[in-house]
Amino acid sequence: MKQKKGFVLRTVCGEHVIVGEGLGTIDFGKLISLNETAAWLWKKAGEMGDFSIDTLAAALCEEYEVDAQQARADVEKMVAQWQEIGIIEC
Amino acid sequence: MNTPSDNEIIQSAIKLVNEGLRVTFPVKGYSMLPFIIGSKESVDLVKPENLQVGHVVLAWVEGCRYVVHRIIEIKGDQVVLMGDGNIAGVEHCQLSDVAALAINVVTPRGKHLPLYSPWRVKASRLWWRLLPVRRWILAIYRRTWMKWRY
Repeated sequence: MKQKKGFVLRTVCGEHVIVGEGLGTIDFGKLISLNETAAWLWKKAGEMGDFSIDTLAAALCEEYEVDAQQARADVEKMVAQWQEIGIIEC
Repeated sequence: MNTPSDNEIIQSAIKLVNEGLRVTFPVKGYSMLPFIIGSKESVDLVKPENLQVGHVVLAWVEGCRYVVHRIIEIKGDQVVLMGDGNIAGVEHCQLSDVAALAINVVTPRGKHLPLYSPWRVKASRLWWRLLPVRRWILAIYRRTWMKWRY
Protein backbone atom coordinates (compact mmCIF):
# COMPACT_ATOMS: atom_id res chain seq x y z
CA MET A 1 0.00 0.00 0.00
CA LYS A 2 1.09 3.58 -0.48
CA GLN A 3 -0.21 7.10 -0.22
CA LYS A 4 -1.77 8.55 -3.34
CA LYS A 5 0.19 11.42 -4.82
CA GLY A 6 -0.99 14.88 -3.95
CA PHE A 7 -2.26 14.18 -0.43
CA VAL A 8 -0.20 16.15 2.03
CA LEU A 9 -0.25 16.54 5.82
CA ARG A 10 -0.53 20.19 6.86
CA THR A 11 -1.37 22.18 9.96
CA VAL A 12 -4.43 24.36 9.53
CA CYS A 13 -5.70 26.36 12.49
CA GLY A 14 -3.53 24.28 14.77
CA GLU A 15 -5.03 21.00 13.57
CA HIS A 16 -3.40 18.24 11.56
CA VAL A 17 -5.22 17.90 8.28
CA ILE A 18 -4.64 15.96 5.09
CA VAL A 19 -5.27 18.08 2.05
CA GLY A 20 -5.43 17.06 -1.58
CA GLU A 21 -2.93 19.32 -3.32
CA GLY A 22 -3.46 18.17 -6.86
CA LEU A 23 -2.34 20.95 -9.21
CA GLY A 24 -1.33 23.07 -6.22
CA THR A 25 -4.91 23.52 -5.02
CA ILE A 26 -6.17 23.03 -1.49
CA ASP A 27 -9.88 22.49 -0.96
CA PHE A 28 -10.95 23.84 2.43
CA GLY A 29 -14.29 22.14 1.95
CA LYS A 30 -12.60 18.74 1.95
CA LEU A 31 -10.08 18.75 4.78
CA ILE A 32 -9.46 15.47 6.57
CA SER A 33 -8.71 16.17 10.20
CA LEU A 34 -6.40 13.84 12.17
CA ASN A 35 -5.49 13.41 15.82
CA GLU A 36 -1.81 13.29 16.85
CA THR A 37 -1.45 9.52 16.46
CA ALA A 38 -3.20 9.44 13.10
CA ALA A 39 -1.03 12.33 11.87
CA TRP A 40 2.10 10.45 13.03
CA LEU A 41 0.93 7.29 11.25
CA TRP A 42 0.32 9.23 8.04
CA LYS A 43 3.79 10.79 8.22
CA LYS A 44 5.32 7.37 8.91
CA ALA A 45 3.44 5.79 6.01
CA GLY A 46 4.78 8.55 3.77
CA GLU A 47 8.36 7.91 4.94
CA MET A 48 7.97 4.18 4.29
CA GLY A 49 6.65 4.69 0.78
CA ASP A 50 5.33 1.17 0.39
CA PHE A 51 3.79 0.11 3.69
CA SER A 52 1.60 -2.63 5.11
CA ILE A 53 -0.57 -2.88 8.20
CA ASP A 54 2.15 -5.01 9.81
CA THR A 55 4.99 -2.57 9.17
CA LEU A 56 2.95 0.40 10.35
CA ALA A 57 1.78 -1.46 13.45
CA ALA A 58 5.40 -2.38 14.27
CA ALA A 59 6.42 1.27 13.89
CA LEU A 60 3.53 2.34 16.12
CA CYS A 61 4.64 -0.13 18.83
CA GLU A 62 8.14 1.26 18.67
CA GLU A 63 7.08 4.88 18.92
CA TYR A 64 4.28 4.59 21.46
CA GLU A 65 4.10 2.10 24.29
CA VAL A 66 1.22 -0.01 23.02
CA ASP A 67 0.95 -3.76 22.74
CA ALA A 68 1.18 -5.36 19.33
CA GLN A 69 -2.47 -6.47 19.23
CA GLN A 70 -3.80 -2.99 20.06
CA ALA A 71 -1.39 -1.40 17.60
CA ARG A 72 -2.52 -3.69 14.80
CA ALA A 73 -6.18 -3.08 15.56
CA ASP A 74 -5.64 0.71 15.55
CA VAL A 75 -3.64 0.63 12.33
CA GLU A 76 -6.20 -1.61 10.61
CA LYS A 77 -8.95 0.84 11.53
CA MET A 78 -6.91 3.83 10.36
CA VAL A 79 -5.93 2.21 7.05
CA ALA A 80 -9.55 1.21 6.41
CA GLN A 81 -10.56 4.88 6.83
CA TRP A 82 -7.80 6.01 4.46
CA GLN A 83 -8.99 3.47 1.89
CA GLU A 84 -12.59 4.59 2.28
CA ILE A 85 -11.65 8.25 1.79
CA GLY A 86 -9.51 7.25 -1.17
CA ILE A 87 -6.13 8.65 -0.12
CA ILE A 88 -4.12 5.44 -0.36
CA GLU A 89 -3.72 2.86 -3.07
CA CYS A 90 -3.03 -0.86 -2.79
CA MET B 1 -10.05 20.97 21.74
CA ASN B 2 -10.97 24.55 20.74
CA THR B 3 -12.88 24.97 17.50
CA PRO B 4 -11.13 27.59 15.39
CA SER B 5 -13.11 30.74 14.67
CA ASP B 6 -14.12 31.75 11.16
CA ASN B 7 -11.39 34.39 11.17
CA GLU B 8 -8.75 31.85 12.17
CA ILE B 9 -9.84 29.53 9.38
CA ILE B 10 -9.77 32.39 6.87
CA GLN B 11 -6.32 33.41 8.07
CA SER B 12 -5.10 29.85 7.54
CA ALA B 13 -6.41 29.99 3.99
CA ILE B 14 -4.69 33.35 3.44
CA LYS B 15 -1.40 31.92 4.70
CA LEU B 16 -1.61 29.14 2.11
CA VAL B 17 -2.53 31.61 -0.64
CA ASN B 18 0.54 33.64 0.30
CA GLU B 19 2.63 30.48 -0.15
CA GLY B 20 1.48 30.48 -3.74
CA LEU B 21 -1.18 27.79 -3.42
CA ARG B 22 -4.68 28.02 -4.80
CA VAL B 23 -7.27 27.52 -2.07
CA THR B 24 -10.86 26.46 -2.66
CA PHE B 25 -12.81 28.15 0.11
CA PRO B 26 -16.51 27.79 0.95
CA VAL B 27 -18.49 31.02 0.95
CA LYS B 28 -21.27 31.87 3.40
CA GLY B 29 -24.29 34.11 2.96
CA TYR B 30 -26.04 35.63 -0.02
CA SER B 31 -24.15 38.88 -0.43
CA MET B 32 -22.64 37.81 -3.74
CA LEU B 33 -25.81 36.65 -5.48
CA PRO B 34 -26.38 35.94 -8.28
CA PHE B 35 -22.78 35.16 -9.16
CA ILE B 36 -21.83 33.17 -6.05
CA ILE B 37 -24.36 31.25 -3.97
CA GLY B 38 -23.16 31.17 -0.37
CA SER B 39 -23.45 27.98 1.67
CA LYS B 40 -23.52 25.99 -1.60
CA GLU B 41 -20.64 27.27 -3.71
CA SER B 42 -16.98 27.96 -3.01
CA VAL B 43 -14.41 30.22 -4.60
CA ASP B 44 -10.86 29.52 -5.74
CA LEU B 45 -8.53 32.04 -4.10
CA VAL B 46 -5.09 33.05 -5.33
CA LYS B 47 -2.56 35.79 -4.49
CA PRO B 48 -4.07 39.22 -5.18
CA GLU B 49 -2.09 40.74 -8.03
CA ASN B 50 -2.97 43.35 -10.66
CA LEU B 51 -6.26 44.12 -8.94
CA GLN B 52 -8.91 45.86 -11.00
CA VAL B 53 -12.44 47.13 -10.65
CA GLY B 54 -14.67 44.12 -11.16
CA HIS B 55 -12.43 41.66 -9.36
CA VAL B 56 -13.97 39.59 -6.57
CA VAL B 57 -11.65 39.57 -3.58
CA LEU B 58 -11.31 38.38 -0.01
CA ALA B 59 -10.56 41.49 2.02
CA TRP B 60 -10.38 42.70 5.61
CA VAL B 61 -12.78 45.63 5.58
CA GLU B 62 -13.62 48.49 7.90
CA GLY B 63 -10.87 47.14 10.15
CA CYS B 64 -13.17 44.52 11.58
CA ARG B 65 -14.26 41.67 9.28
CA TYR B 66 -13.51 39.62 6.20
CA VAL B 67 -15.75 39.73 3.16
CA VAL B 68 -15.70 38.19 -0.31
CA HIS B 69 -17.05 41.07 -2.40
CA ARG B 70 -16.47 42.80 -5.72
CA ILE B 71 -14.19 45.81 -6.16
CA ILE B 72 -16.23 48.74 -7.44
CA GLU B 73 -13.61 51.46 -7.11
CA ILE B 74 -9.86 51.79 -6.61
CA LYS B 75 -8.44 55.25 -5.81
CA GLY B 76 -4.75 55.13 -5.06
CA ASP B 77 -4.48 52.53 -2.34
CA GLN B 78 -8.09 52.92 -1.22
CA VAL B 79 -10.49 50.19 -2.31
CA VAL B 80 -14.28 50.25 -2.26
CA LEU B 81 -16.15 46.96 -2.35
CA MET B 82 -19.75 45.93 -2.67
CA GLY B 83 -21.50 42.59 -2.56
CA ASP B 84 -23.28 41.73 -5.81
CA GLY B 85 -26.27 40.64 -3.77
CA ASN B 86 -26.44 43.85 -1.77
CA ILE B 87 -28.72 46.67 -2.78
CA ALA B 88 -26.95 49.30 -0.71
CA GLY B 89 -23.87 49.62 1.45
CA VAL B 90 -20.22 49.47 0.48
CA GLU B 91 -17.08 48.53 2.35
CA HIS B 92 -13.72 50.24 2.41
CA CYS B 93 -10.23 48.94 2.84
CA GLN B 94 -6.70 49.56 1.67
CA LEU B 95 -5.05 47.60 -1.11
CA SER B 96 -2.87 45.94 1.50
CA ASP B 97 -6.03 44.59 3.19
CA VAL B 98 -7.01 42.63 0.11
CA ALA B 99 -5.91 39.14 1.09
CA ALA B 100 -6.82 37.09 -1.98
CA LEU B 101 -8.31 37.27 -5.44
CA ALA B 102 -11.18 34.92 -6.33
CA ILE B 103 -10.71 33.49 -9.80
CA ASN B 104 -13.34 30.75 -10.01
CA VAL B 105 -16.66 29.92 -8.47
CA VAL B 106 -16.81 26.22 -7.58
CA THR B 107 -20.12 24.37 -7.73
CA PRO B 108 -21.10 21.69 -5.20
CA ARG B 109 -20.31 19.11 -7.89
CA GLY B 110 -16.75 20.40 -8.12
CA LYS B 111 -16.97 22.34 -11.37
CA HIS B 112 -14.60 25.31 -11.42
CA LEU B 113 -16.21 28.16 -13.41
CA PRO B 114 -14.04 31.21 -14.24
CA LEU B 115 -15.34 34.43 -12.68
CA TYR B 116 -13.86 36.58 -15.43
CA SER B 117 -14.96 34.77 -18.58
CA PRO B 118 -16.19 37.27 -21.19
CA TRP B 119 -19.86 36.58 -20.55
CA ARG B 120 -19.49 36.76 -16.77
CA VAL B 121 -17.64 40.07 -17.05
CA LYS B 122 -20.42 41.43 -19.29
CA ALA B 123 -23.05 40.05 -16.90
CA SER B 124 -21.39 41.67 -13.88
CA ARG B 125 -21.24 45.02 -15.67
CA LEU B 126 -24.91 44.74 -16.60
CA TRP B 127 -25.68 43.72 -13.02
CA TRP B 128 -23.98 46.89 -11.78
CA ARG B 129 -26.24 48.97 -14.03
CA LEU B 130 -29.26 47.11 -12.66
CA LEU B 131 -28.48 48.25 -9.12
CA PRO B 132 -31.70 50.32 -8.83
CA VAL B 133 -33.81 47.22 -9.50
CA ARG B 134 -31.61 44.54 -7.91
CA ARG B 135 -33.97 44.09 -5.00
CA TRP B 136 -36.78 42.78 -7.19
CA ILE B 137 -34.60 40.71 -9.48
CA LEU B 138 -32.97 39.05 -6.48
CA ALA B 139 -36.33 38.39 -4.84
CA ILE B 140 -37.47 36.55 -7.96
CA TYR B 141 -34.09 34.84 -8.35
CA ARG B 142 -34.12 33.47 -4.80
CA ARG B 143 -37.61 32.10 -5.20
CA THR B 144 -37.04 30.51 -8.59
CA TRP B 145 -33.65 29.88 -10.21
CA MET B 146 -31.74 29.43 -6.97
CA LYS B 147 -34.18 26.84 -5.65
CA TRP B 148 -34.13 24.94 -8.92
CA ARG B 149 -30.38 25.08 -9.32
CA TYR B 150 -29.48 23.35 -6.05
